[in-house]
Amino acid sequence: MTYSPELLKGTLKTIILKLLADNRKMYGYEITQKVKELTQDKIQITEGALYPTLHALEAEKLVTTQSEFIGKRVRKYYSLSVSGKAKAREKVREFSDFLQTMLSLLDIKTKSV
Amino acid sequence: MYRITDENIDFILEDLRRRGIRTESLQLNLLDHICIIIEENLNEGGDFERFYAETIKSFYQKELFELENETNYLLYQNNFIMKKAMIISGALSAVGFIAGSFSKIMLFRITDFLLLISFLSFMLLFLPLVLIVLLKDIKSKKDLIMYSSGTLALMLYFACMLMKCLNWPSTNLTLGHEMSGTVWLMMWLACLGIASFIFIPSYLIKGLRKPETKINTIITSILLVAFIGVQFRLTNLKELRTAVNQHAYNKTVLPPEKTVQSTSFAR
Repeated sequence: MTYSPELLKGTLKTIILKLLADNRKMYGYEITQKVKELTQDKIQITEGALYPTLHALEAEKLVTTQSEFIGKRVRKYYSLSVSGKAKAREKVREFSDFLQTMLSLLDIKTKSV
Repeated sequence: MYRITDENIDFILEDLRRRGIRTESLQLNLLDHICIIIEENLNEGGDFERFYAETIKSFYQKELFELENETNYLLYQNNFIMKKAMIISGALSAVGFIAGSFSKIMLFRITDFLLLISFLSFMLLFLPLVLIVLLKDIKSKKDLIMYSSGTLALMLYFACMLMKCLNWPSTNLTLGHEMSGTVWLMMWLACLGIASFIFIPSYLIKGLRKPETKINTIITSILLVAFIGVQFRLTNLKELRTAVNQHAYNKTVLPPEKTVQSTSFAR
């Protein structure tokens, strides 16, 4: 089962920031593969969602980039800036709190699930 | 495993551009992403173009330029309304200045209203919005000083020009003749002072540090100094002294009903 894009849309920044916090630097394709691997293919980040979000994070100065030439093409590595590290912590904390609220709101018993 | 050739890379880049991906960094990201997928999944000697066409289809729902639009939306959503307001207020002010000037030549009654609206929109909407947009990209305190002083100097300059255009220093509204003229002069001198001693030095220091902006900075600074010099020439300090002396004379020697009005001391 894969989750709907609507469900994932609001969490994409959090996912990317957390992945970059756990890994020193990553490039786009690597991020999509890592997410697939960690979620057993349940979450698949599309290119159409990933790259616009990475550009937005770069514009917000939350990530820094480093380019590496591979023959004629360029690979762009993303890593967290100082403010990005703080933002990653804040986003994960916020999401955790949100999850607790949703569990309570939807009356989901975590043990039975 | 398929090995991507330089011709394949040119083909992909050309196709991305043709499909509406204009942002260079997005092109490079997608190029690398596509190359990895092809290299990992296409067998040696496989049909590159066919596999590429299949791969690229999975990137979008209707058209590839959705990615470009989504990127631009995420990049500019915060500033979009502000930038739109900035452009509209700036354009309306510019049109208002031209219409007001034409109206003045034709001696239309609407002149003062047009100029007032245009100047106010320029000073209170356009310039502050420009400053806010610029402040979002500042990298140091020096940039903050440069942009703030530049905007403040321009606001004061246009305020003075508005008062001049509408003859406010001599209208004797609430402050009294000498007082309103003094307010104008103080604003005018503050504008020239801020531009000369804060804005230009900070602009010069910033521009001279980068070799690629050095020449442009020097030329612009010379033009700015020349412009401010010419503007300063418009300040008639001799008449200011006359006005101050006249005011003192009125207060000390003449009875209130015989006070003599001084002339405007700033041309």
